[in-house]
Amino acid sequence: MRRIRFALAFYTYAVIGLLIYLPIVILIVFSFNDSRVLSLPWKGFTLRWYAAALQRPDLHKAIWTSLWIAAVVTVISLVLGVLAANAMARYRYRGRLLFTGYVALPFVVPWLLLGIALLLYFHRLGVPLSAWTIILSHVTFDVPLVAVLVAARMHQFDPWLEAAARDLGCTPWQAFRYVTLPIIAPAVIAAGIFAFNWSFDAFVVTHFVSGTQVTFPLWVWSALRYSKNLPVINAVSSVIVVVEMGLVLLAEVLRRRGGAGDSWL
Amino acid sequence: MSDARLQVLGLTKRFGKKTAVRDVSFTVQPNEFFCLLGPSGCGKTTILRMIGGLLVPDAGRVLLDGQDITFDPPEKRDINIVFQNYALFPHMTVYDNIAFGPRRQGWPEDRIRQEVGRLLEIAHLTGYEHKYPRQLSGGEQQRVALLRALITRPQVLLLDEPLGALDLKIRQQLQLELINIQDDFHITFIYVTHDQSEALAMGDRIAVMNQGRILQIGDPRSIYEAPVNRFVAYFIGNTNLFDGSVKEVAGQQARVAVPGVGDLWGVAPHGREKLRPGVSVAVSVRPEKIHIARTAPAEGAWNRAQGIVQDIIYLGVSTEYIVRLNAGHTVRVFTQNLRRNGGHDAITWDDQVWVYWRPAHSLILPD
Repeated sequence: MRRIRFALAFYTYAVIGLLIYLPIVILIVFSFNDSRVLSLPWKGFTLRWYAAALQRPDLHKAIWTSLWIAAVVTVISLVLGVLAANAMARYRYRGRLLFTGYVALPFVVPWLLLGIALLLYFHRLGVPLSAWTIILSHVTFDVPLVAVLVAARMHQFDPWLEAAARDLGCTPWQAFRYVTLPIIAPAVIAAGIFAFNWSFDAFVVTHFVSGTQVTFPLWVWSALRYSKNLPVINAVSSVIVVVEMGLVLLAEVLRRRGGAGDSWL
Repeated sequence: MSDARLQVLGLTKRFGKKTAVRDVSFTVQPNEFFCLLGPSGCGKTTILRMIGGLLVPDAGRVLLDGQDITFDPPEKRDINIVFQNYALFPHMTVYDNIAFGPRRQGWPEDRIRQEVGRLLEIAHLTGYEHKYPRQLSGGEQQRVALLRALITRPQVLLLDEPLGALDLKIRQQLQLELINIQDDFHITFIYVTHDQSEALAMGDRIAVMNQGRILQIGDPRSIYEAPVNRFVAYFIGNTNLFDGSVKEVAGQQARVAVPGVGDLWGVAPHGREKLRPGVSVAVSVRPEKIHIARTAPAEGAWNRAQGIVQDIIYLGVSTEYIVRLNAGHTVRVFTQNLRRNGGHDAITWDDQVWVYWRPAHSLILPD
């Protein structure tokens, strides 16, 4: 039994490692390779692709666009997502399951369809494509993400805590501010990080609704058409991979630590 | 009744098709320790929540010092709750938990610090200020929950089975502490429990509930000695119940024919209007009111029956005999252990005995 478990664990690590981490490691390693082609032999260590990346205003603009869009999307998604989580986890009412399904639906709709649907929708309404259509589109899949993560935390905590806060003199908003929010804060912060990442990384949906806006994934997509760009993309991607992994790790730590009833607010 | 602290008038609450609370009314005086007692699911916690403002009744009113507060939100009521599971804020220290109410009311921090310190001292929790609820034992959490609800001196404190989750010893100790605190603070307590001994021990008055209704309100002695019906007699303390039908009514007493046992004389604690020959009733006799002996008692002055000792349960202060009557009924008898060795004529297993009691101790109750 023990041996089987060990073998299973080994295969799991091996498969995940080979399929996911190895390509990323190769990407990072070759971003320091002094060659235009992404292959052996190793031509020597260099930082020139990073230097080149620093000198691409189109890249900077794309990253900046993605960053501010992701920031706005995160804020909107957190507000709407926490409210939705509250409705999903807190109250019993007719149609609660329906509501939960409604909120979670964008999770299971293929993003290609979501992108096409949003494009048709904006077109029919006569909304010109812009950064704001991107933001609205990202919000559609980030809200359910936040809602699900936060609802999981809300399910764990005693609903009588809010009743106790009300009883001791809180308005509903104060009860949320002083009791609920501090307790769910780890999950909210974690959800915010995930939401930010999802928005920053989103390509498929963004592709349909971006108009003339170039976000970072769109920039990568278009830059890929010229092989001379490859090493630069590689270098930028390496930085982003490291930053995002760090953030996700932080989010996971926060999410787990939150179980003990700690909080920071 | 204008000096009543709290009045509940015709309170009704339905959940879906089920009526949890049905036309409940009672009045609680200032500084009274009022118990709502009943089996789980009888609606007592629902009543508490409606008084506290956590539930809105479907009908009826709640008055606090004569003011209608039925639809006021909980934060507007000068009523605090000690929750069954304590509901302490897990992200706050003991100090912050207790200071929560005063801070909402805008007390200066100096005054909060003084008052919290004083209360912790009363509750033997000095030095616990910076601990978190999860670091406390059940009894300690209970005390913190109580202090948190008490510190702002509400008009009424609602306690929802506050000792339910604790060990017997701690429970008994906290029962005394609660009574003392209630005396010291002059706060009206409404205390919900399903534990009849707790209600008898603590309550100034008790409301006995079943299936959403209040069956009887009275002080512990009248609830115990003069129950209004079979359920109350059965639910409060121990009792022996005989089912029978009325044969005749003579003055204060009535004669009830109990199949297999014979005729029992008894009294109706709440009026004799309904006692007519042929009416089926229950006769309740408390175990401590029954005598047990090998020799027959004088005829006439006693209700009596013969049987065999089936079981003896020695309890230290008292001994419980379980006697199987010849007709098949089982009767429980409590006797005080006045002597250490039980005497040379001590009753033992399988003895033929008489059990007998005064007619005044046979309570004839409607079913």
